[in-house]
This record gives sequence, structure tokens and C-alpha cells, in this order.
Amino acid sequence: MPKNQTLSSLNTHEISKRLNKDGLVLAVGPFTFCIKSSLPSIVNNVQKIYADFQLLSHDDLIDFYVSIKKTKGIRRFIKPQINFYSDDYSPFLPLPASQAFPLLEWGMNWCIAQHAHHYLLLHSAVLEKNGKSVILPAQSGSGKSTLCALLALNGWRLLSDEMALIDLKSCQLHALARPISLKNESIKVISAQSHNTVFGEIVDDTNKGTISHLKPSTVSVEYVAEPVRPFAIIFPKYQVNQAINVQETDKATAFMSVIENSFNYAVLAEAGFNTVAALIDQVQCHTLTYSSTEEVLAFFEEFAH
Amino acid sequence: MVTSILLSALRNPAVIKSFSASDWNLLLRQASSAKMLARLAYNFTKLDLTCHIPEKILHHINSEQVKVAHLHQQVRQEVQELDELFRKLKIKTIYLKGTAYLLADLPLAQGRYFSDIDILLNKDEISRIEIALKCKGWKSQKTDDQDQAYYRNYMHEIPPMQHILRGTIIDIHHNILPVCNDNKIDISLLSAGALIIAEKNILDNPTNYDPSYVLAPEAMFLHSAIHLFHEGELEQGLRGLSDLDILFSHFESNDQSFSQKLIKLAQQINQQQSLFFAWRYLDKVFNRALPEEARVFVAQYQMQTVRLLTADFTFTHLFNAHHSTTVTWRFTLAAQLAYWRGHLLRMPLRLLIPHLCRKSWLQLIEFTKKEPAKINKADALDPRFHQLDED
Amino acid sequence: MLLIKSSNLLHEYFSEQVIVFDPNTGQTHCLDNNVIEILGQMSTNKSNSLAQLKQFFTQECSNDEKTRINDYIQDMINNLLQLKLIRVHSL
Repeated sequence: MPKNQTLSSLNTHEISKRLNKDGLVLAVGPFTFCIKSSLPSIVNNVQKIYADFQLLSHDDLIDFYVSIKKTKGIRRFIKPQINFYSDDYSPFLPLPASQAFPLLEWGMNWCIAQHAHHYLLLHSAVLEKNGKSVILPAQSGSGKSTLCALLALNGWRLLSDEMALIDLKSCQLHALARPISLKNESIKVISAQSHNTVFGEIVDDTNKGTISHLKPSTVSVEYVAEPVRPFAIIFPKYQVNQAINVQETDKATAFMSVIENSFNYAVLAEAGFNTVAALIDQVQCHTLTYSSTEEVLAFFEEFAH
Repeated sequence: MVTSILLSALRNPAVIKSFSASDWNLLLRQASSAKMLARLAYNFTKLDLTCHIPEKILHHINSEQVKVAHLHQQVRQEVQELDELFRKLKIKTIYLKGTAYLLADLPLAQGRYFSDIDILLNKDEISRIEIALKCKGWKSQKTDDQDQAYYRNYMHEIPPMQHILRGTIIDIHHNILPVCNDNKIDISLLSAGALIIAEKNILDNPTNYDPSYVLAPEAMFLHSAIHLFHEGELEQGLRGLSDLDILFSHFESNDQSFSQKLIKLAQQINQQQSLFFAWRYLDKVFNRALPEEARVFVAQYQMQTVRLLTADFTFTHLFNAHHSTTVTWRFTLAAQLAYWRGHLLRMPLRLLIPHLCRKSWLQLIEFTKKEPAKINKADALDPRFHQLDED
Repeated sequence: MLLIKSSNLLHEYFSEQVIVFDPNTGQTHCLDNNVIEILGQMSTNKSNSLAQLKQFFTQECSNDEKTRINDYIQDMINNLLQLKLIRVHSL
């Protein structure tokens, strides 16, 4: 198999066959997933959203075996439900079948958050332009994913929408380039930004409202194996009708905020502390309050120069 | 019996030298689901095999070791608090199982995945401890009267208690087998010679009173064996046998008379069968070379042929990976046999039947009410995961 | 009162605060960075007298300053005790 064969080289029939049988093996950043599912919505979404991802085989080392399966029992005829499995284990309660793809995405995040303790994992978006990277931690009300999608559509390379992977030894940021999960109004705002956006199915009535996934740019996926030095941590906050305001944050506060946003700081113990210390030491820390798209894009544009 | 790749790697870790990527994939899956990845890593390191492990697999191993270290740190912290309490109450406590291996700094503790704390104390002290723990934020997990009565009348422990904030579970035992068991153990014979655990961190000991102990080596091994061979659910059976393997080779290499001491203690407490099984399956499943005394003991042990054949069928099938890649009909049958055997050993039939009937009735009611949320402590390790996607 | 410092504490010093990681409890604390001076005067393997500690920090101080510094140290010690970064050594 040529080294850089992507999913787009397979037709729908072949993708569906692999998902149904032994599993479709994809490189997702530093991880390799084997995905199985017989659900048509998984086939459609995976084909569309993961088109640029590198195809691997069962002869490669695989990190995670994930599947989405219909639940058994009589109830499935009235109200079909699905479960996420990480190998034999199902960590979540079942969801309505319409939410299959969001559940797969969520489950893949879960696998990484539970098992990738060779990274410090932060709940944040990460983007890069001209070698300058920004970590955008996801505090509630930050509008992180919308901001992330805006930047990704304006020349920033997407490293991750959900998770910063910080190498414990080198302190470098590693990329995932996974789809960006958008909710409710954000979906419209982002589709209006560009004609080139590709979205997955729009799923209504999840416990987070309406969800759809934005396909990551081909360039972001092509460069997924390139790590980058952390340059800045910016704590965003969306505030209606506010002019843009950027403040430097003192580093002790930033340190504590980073910990709060980490998935595995507690588990990592000393290694976690040392990595956060090294990270804080080498980045600028800012808080950003914004409402206008133009203003916030202009700010980041300047930041990258 | 199909030998799983996990079992081959435990039996002879050097097999990994010729592993292909798909062999590694299978081993990773089976070992993760058995929570034995860190245990394997311990074996690989001991035999200097780490250089044969691909980097990707090493990441998984290291992650698991990090998780285990975190659980151990939490247990140590709980023990520190508990010791303070026991010292105040002047109660002598013996830590059992995982906690004991950790406190005694045994090689077995390395890479052993556990989070519950087990203690053994005098039956008369239990109510004092229970009240004291309740004052410190521990709560009984079984609130139903019938469950409470079942534990108090027939079991060797009180219902597990859980800390309301930290989620840690403590099992308080006054014996190591259910008290309704026909083969009741004189616990004083087992706990004789318990070893004091010196606290490394505490310089001050105001009362000069050492509250915490672990069982002596032969009692520790025998307890682990009794526990494993009275267990009805052997999903973690392979891990239990591997525990025995590591314990035995450690104690044996430190004390040449270890096997003799084991035989003597087993005779005293009338648990020769557990010792027989332990040695038999260390040999059969892991191909371990046993010392002379052990071989003689195993050869001379008398058991009905039918019962031995059943035991062999059950245990050789269940001391294996329990994973979707290894399930066969024989395996399923063995699991059923073990379930009944475990229950029968723990309880006479006259008590067992009503107990199981009631249990299945309750499960049925539970089932129709709601589907239980499945979140174990390790998964809930990080509450932040639950806000994923939620900006 | 005799005090003992918890072992293996890690810290990262900033302009006003210090972040302290305690591997024994797994907790991370953000504290006033003067704490480091106080912890620096304490040992993890032998007990330290609070009176001596206060004396050390109030050498060549006026009485008025002494009272204030003593109060400040007492507050800090209380806080450190609560966070389990130090323990009381009882005889």
C-alpha cells in the first residue's frame, strides 16, 4: 500500500465494507483508530469528514478499536439506540441512533483522554500560523469552537478543536486535526463565512442542541505530523456587544487555569506539574474578550506577524 | 483450551521478541481489558525485554503505569488517614490484598491495578470502627435492610463503605470466608505473626502504638489463594493467578522453608485444597517449576476424579484472557460452572437458593426500572471529561 | 508547637505567587510566594519549633513589626497546616 493513501481513494462501497467487517483503520494525528460500524450515517459522515486522513491497515499498530453498535432488545424497533464501544467496553449510556456520528467523535476523544498519558492533555483548541501557535482553553462561554472554526477558515492551521496534546518531554504541541464540533447558531455563522466549508450531517436534539461537524482543511490534515512550539495561551471569552479587549494574564493565574482545563493533570502528578511549569515558562498568556468576528480575526492576524 | 496471546506473554514474556504488529494489537487489547498491561510491563522490565516493545505500545504501557501510580498514591493517602483513626481508637488492623502488597512494598504491588482498601480486624471492634468511619464521611454502600442483614448474618465482612467525597471504597473483614461457610477458618491462626508496617513518613507516633499490620508471607499467599479459589466470577482470574505467581516466587526466593510453612498453615486452617489448586494451576497454566515439597504435596493430595476434572476444565479455561477474541462455548460453560462452584463454596445450599432467588428478582426489578449508569472510579478520574464539547 | 514539612514538595515561583505541588496529596496550591521562605526554613525529617521560626524572621525588628510579622507567620502556618503541606509533630 502506498504510504500516503487517504480515505478519499476508497469508494463508498469499499468504506462501508471495511466499516462493516474488520474495521476501517485511520491515522488520526499520533493515534491509529480502527473504526467499526454498520450504521449508514457513520459511513456517510466518516467518508465526508475524514476524506483527507491517512489510510492504514491491520498490519499497522493500532491504538484504539472503536465501534458504534445498535443496542439489542425489542425496544430497538420503536426507538433505535446506539452504544459506543472502546474494544469490548462501553463507557457511556446509549443514545438515540440519530446521534451516531457525534457519539463516535465523543468516544474517540474519550479514548485519547483516558489512555494518552504520555501527553499533558488540555481541553482547548490549538491553531498555528507562521509558526506561532495559540492554545485556546475551553472555559464555559468562551465560544472556543466557533473561534477555532473562524481561524481555521482564515489561514490558520488546525491542530485540534478539543484537545491540546503537549509532549511531556519536549513540551511540543502535537496535532490531531479532527473535525470541529459546532453547535446551534455557530453552524450558520461558520457556513456563512466561506463557500468551501464541508459539514457532516446536522443532528438535532442532542443534549447540547443541534450539532454538526466541520471538516478540517486538507492542509491541516497534511501537516498533522508536524509538532509546533507553544507560543501563546489565550483565554477567550465571548461577550455580546463588547469591543475587543486583550489583557496580559499573570502567570500564576494562568498556571492554575491550565490545570483546571486539563484532562489528566491529576493523574500525571509530578510530570504534570513539571510540564505545566515548562509550558507557562515559554508562552505569553492573555485573556481575550470579544464579540465581533472582524475584530477578533484582525487581532489574531496581527498576532501571527 | 485456546491459549490467548495474553497468557502466552505471561507464561513466557520472551515471545514478544518475534511479535508482529497484529500480535501486539491483540496483546494490547487483551491485556488492557484484563487490566494487566502494567503487570506485563513489570515482567518485560524484569527480563530486560523493554527494547523489543514498539514505541506506540510503550506509550500505552506508560499511560497505564501512570494510572496505577495515581491509584496507589490515593490509597497511600487514605491509609495515612485511616491509620490516624485506628491509632486514636487503639485498634489493631491488618491490611489485606492490594493495600497490603503496596504497604509491604512487595514487587507484586508494581503495576497492580486496584483502588479498594481491604482491612481485617477483630469482630468485636467492627461497630466502633464503623461509627468512627461514618463520622469521617464514609457511608455504607448497601442501604437495603435485607442486604444489610445478609452481610451481617452470613458474610465475613460488613457491607463495603464508600467515602462520600473521594469515592474510595473500604471493605471491612472480620474473617476471610463467609461465616456461614461449613469450613470456617480460625482467623487467629491466619493473623498470627502479622507484620508491623512502619510508616515511612511519620516521625512522630504519640502513643507509641502501631495500628497497622500486614499478614505474614505464608498467610498472605494462602489468603490470596483461598480468595481466588472461592471466587465465583473469574473475570479477573488470570490476574489473580498471576498475583499468586509473583507472590510465590518472591517469598520462595527469600525463604527456603516457605513451601513448608505454607503446607503447615494450610493444614492448620484446613485449606489444603486452595493450596493444592494454587500450585496445580501455577504449574498447569504458567508452567512454573515448583519446589520439591510443593510437588510432593500436589502429588499426594487426594481429590475425587470427577471433581478434579471439573475443576481442571473450569480453571484452565477461565485462567485466560476474558475478551471477545477468546470466547468459545467451552469458556462460557466454564464460567457458569465457576459461578455455581463459587457460590456453593461460600454458602451452604439451604442459604444459597433463597439468596440467589432474591438477588435475581431484585435484578429484574432494577432492570425494568432503569438502566444503571456504568461509570467506574478509574473512568470518573477526571470530571473534566464530562464537559468535553461544552464550550 | 513543633512542625514538620511534607516531603518532596515541588514549586514554581512567580512574581507574587508560588505554585506548590504536593505529591503526597496530589494537590496543587497557589500561595503567596513568601511561603517559600517559611518552608525553606523547615525540614522534612526533623521537627521545627514555631517559636524559633518566628524568631528567625523577626531578628532586628521593632516590637511593633515583630507583632505584625508573628501574626503573618501564624496565619501562614495555619493555612499550611490546613493544606497538609506541614504537620504538627506531637511528642
